[in-house]
Amino acid sequence: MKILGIDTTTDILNLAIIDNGNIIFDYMINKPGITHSSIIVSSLKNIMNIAEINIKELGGIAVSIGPGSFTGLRVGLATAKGLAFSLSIPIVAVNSLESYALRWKELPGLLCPIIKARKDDYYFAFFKKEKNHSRLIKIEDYQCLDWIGIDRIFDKYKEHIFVFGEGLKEIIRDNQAMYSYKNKVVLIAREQEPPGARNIALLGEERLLEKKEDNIYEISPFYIKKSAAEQKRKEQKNCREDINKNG
Amino acid sequence: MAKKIILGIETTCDETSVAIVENGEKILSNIIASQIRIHQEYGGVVPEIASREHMKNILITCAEALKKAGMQLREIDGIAIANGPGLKGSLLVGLSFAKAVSFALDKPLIGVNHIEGHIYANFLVHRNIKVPFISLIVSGGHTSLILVNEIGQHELLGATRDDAAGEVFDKIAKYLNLGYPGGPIIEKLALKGVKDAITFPRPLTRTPNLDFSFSGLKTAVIYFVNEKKKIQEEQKIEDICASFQQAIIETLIHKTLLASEKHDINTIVVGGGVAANESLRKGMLEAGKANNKKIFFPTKELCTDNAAMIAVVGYYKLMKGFTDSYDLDVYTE
Amino acid sequence: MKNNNIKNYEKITYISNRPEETGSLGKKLGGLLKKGDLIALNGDLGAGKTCFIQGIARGLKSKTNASSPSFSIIKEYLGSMPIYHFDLYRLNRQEEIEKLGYEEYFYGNGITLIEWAIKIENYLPEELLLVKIKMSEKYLKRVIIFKPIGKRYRDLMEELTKLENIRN
Repeated sequence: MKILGIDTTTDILNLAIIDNGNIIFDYMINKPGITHSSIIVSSLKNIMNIAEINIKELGGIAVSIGPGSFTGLRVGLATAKGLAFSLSIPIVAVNSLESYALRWKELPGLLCPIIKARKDDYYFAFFKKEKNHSRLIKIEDYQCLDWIGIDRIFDKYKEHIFVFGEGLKEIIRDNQAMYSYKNKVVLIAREQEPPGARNIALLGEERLLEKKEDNIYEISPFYIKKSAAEQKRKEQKNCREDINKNG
Repeated sequence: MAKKIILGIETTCDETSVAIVENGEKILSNIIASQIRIHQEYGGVVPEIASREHMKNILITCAEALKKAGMQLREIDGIAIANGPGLKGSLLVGLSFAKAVSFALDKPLIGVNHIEGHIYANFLVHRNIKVPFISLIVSGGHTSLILVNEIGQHELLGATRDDAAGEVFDKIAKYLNLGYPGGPIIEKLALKGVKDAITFPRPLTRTPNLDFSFSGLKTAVIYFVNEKKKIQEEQKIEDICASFQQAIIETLIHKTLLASEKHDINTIVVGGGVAANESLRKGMLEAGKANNKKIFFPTKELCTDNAAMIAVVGYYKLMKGFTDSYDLDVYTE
Repeated sequence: MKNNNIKNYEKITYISNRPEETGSLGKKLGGLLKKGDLIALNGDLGAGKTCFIQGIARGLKSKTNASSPSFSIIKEYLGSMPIYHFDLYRLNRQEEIEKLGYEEYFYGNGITLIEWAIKIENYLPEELLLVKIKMSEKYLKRVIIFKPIGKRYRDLMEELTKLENIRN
C-alpha cells in the first residue's frame, strides 16, 4: 500500500511516499522566505510525475500535526485533509516528536527530541524503547520549556539521554547546553533535518495496518499551551512591573 | 452548452463557507459553518461556532455542501478559492485545502479576490446587470469603490484610509453599550430617531477624490457623547444612532454618485455586510432614481461573507480561461 | 551634553495637537526601527493608535496605507522590512491569540505593531516599547506616552528624543 507522508513541522518541507515500508521517494526542500503553501502541492505534483505515480494509487495519508510551526502545520494538515477527502482514503495524524524519536530508536537510552517553539522555548518529550519490543513509549509527556527546565528533567533519570532534533541547533549555537554538561547527556548535534516524512509515513502505515486511522473531521494541530508554571511566572512579573509603571 | 459546476471556498477571516454553484448563477448549496445543525455522521464532531475555526470546520462544511447539492466531488468542474484579502492563517487553511482538492480531482484551481466576490454576489440574484458598472463594497473589513469595465476586469477607484464603515458601526455600538453586532442594532434604534438631530461630519465629502475616511466621524461621536455626559445633558440614543447612521449613509451615497459621474456610468452595484442596511438600500435607491442610475443590491443573506459569491467569480474566470497554478499564494491586503 | 540615559519604564511624554502631528511623530519613530522591534499601543477608542501606526509605516517607507486591521486582526505590509500590524480590538479572550501564530510574527523578521496590546499582556515579550495615547478635553489634542522596556528600546527612545527634543 502506498502511503504519502507530509511533514511541514519545521521550515523544511518534506514529502515522502513509501510502499509497504519501502521508499519510493523522500523529498526535502529548504527555501527560506517561501512558505510551504506556495510549494507543497506543486512539489508533490512534480515528484509524483518523476516517480510515475498517479495520485489515485495512494492508499493513505500520514501527516505531522506538530508540535511545531504554526503556519506550516496548518498548511500541511489542510492539504492532507483535502487529499484524503477527495480520494476517499484514510488519514493518520502523527506527532512530530514521536516521528523524530522513531528515527533514533536504535540508540541505547532515553530519547529526547527537541523542536524550537517560541523564543528560548522548546517542545520536547522523552521516549524509551519498550523491553523486548521495538515500540517506543513516552515517559515524559509533550511539553514546552526552556533549556534550563529541560535540563532539570534530565536529573530525574539515571540512563543515558540522547538529545536531537531541529531545536538543538539553536541551543548549541547559543551555548545554552554549556550550562548543563552531564556525562549521561549526549547531544546529537548534526541533526538539522525535520522529523521526517518517511518516519511519519511509516508510523502512518503501522497504524493503518492496525485499522487505527483518525477521524478526518476531527484532526487539528497539536498545541501545547503555555505551561501553568510559565503563566504564573509571567503574571508575577507583570505584577512587579505594574508597581514600577504606576510609580 | 454543458453545465459548469463550481465549488467555492471562503475562509478569509472569521467564517468558513463552502458552496456549489451551477453556471455562475444557480446556488445548489451555500453552507456557512456557524449555521450548520449538529449531525451525527461526522463522528460526533460539531462545527465550531467560534470564529476562525477553519481547520475544524472546512471538511464538515464541504461535506454538507455536497450533500445539500446532492453531488459528488468528481462532478465538480472547478475549485474557486478566496485567497485574499484577509487573515493569513485563515486564508492558508482554505487555500491549502482547495489546492489539494484541485490536485486530487485534476480540476482547475481559481483564486478569487474576496471583495470581487461581494460584487458578484449580485449576479446570483439579478440577471440584467450590464458592464460597465461602479461597485460599492462596504463591510466590517472594507469600504471600496470599484470600476468594473468588463467581467473580470476591475479597477480600484477608492477605499477607506482608516476604518471601514461596518467597523465604525460596531465600534460606536460597543462604545454606547448597545451590544453586538452593532450595525443591525443601530439601524433598529435609528428608526425611532431623528436623523438630523445632530450634525456629525461627513468626512472627505468635500474633496473630489474617491477615498473614504470614517475615523474622524467615529471620534466626533465619541466626543459628542462625552460632552453630553459632562454637562449631564440627556441625548436620546435613538437620535444619536439616526444621526450617526445618516452621516455614514450620506457619505457612502455621495462618493458612489461622484464615482459614477466621474466615469459616466449609470449602473451601480452594491455589496458587503453593510449593504444589508435597509436605510442604505433605501437611500441609495432614492438617489439612483433622482440621478438616473440603476442600483443593484444582493439579498440580505448574500451580503454577508459566503462561498457562493466566490463560486460565481470562479465560474466567470474559468469561462475566460483564467485559472491558477499551484504556486497561488494568499495576500492580506 | 548632559548624560541623560533613559531608564526602563521611564515615561517620555509628547503632546500632539492634531492627527498630523501624531502621524509625523510615528513617521520619525518608524525611521529608527530595526528588524525584530515590537511596539505595544494602548489607548481609548478614537485616541489615534491607527493614525500613529500609519505614520510609523510611512517612516518605514511602506507604500501601503495602513488602514485599520480591526476586522482581520493582522495585516502585513512591506516597507524597508516586513510590517506586522495587529489590532486586538476584536479579541474576546487573550487565548485567542494562540491560534493566530503570534510567535512567528513577534519573533520573526519584521516590525510588530500591536493596537490594544493590553488584551494579551501575558503573551507580550519581556522587552518592548509601550505607547499609550490619551485623549484630552481639547478635541484634537492627544498625550502620547512612551515607556521603553529593555536596552534596545531605551536606545530607541534616546534616538527619538534627540530627533524630537521631547522629554517629560
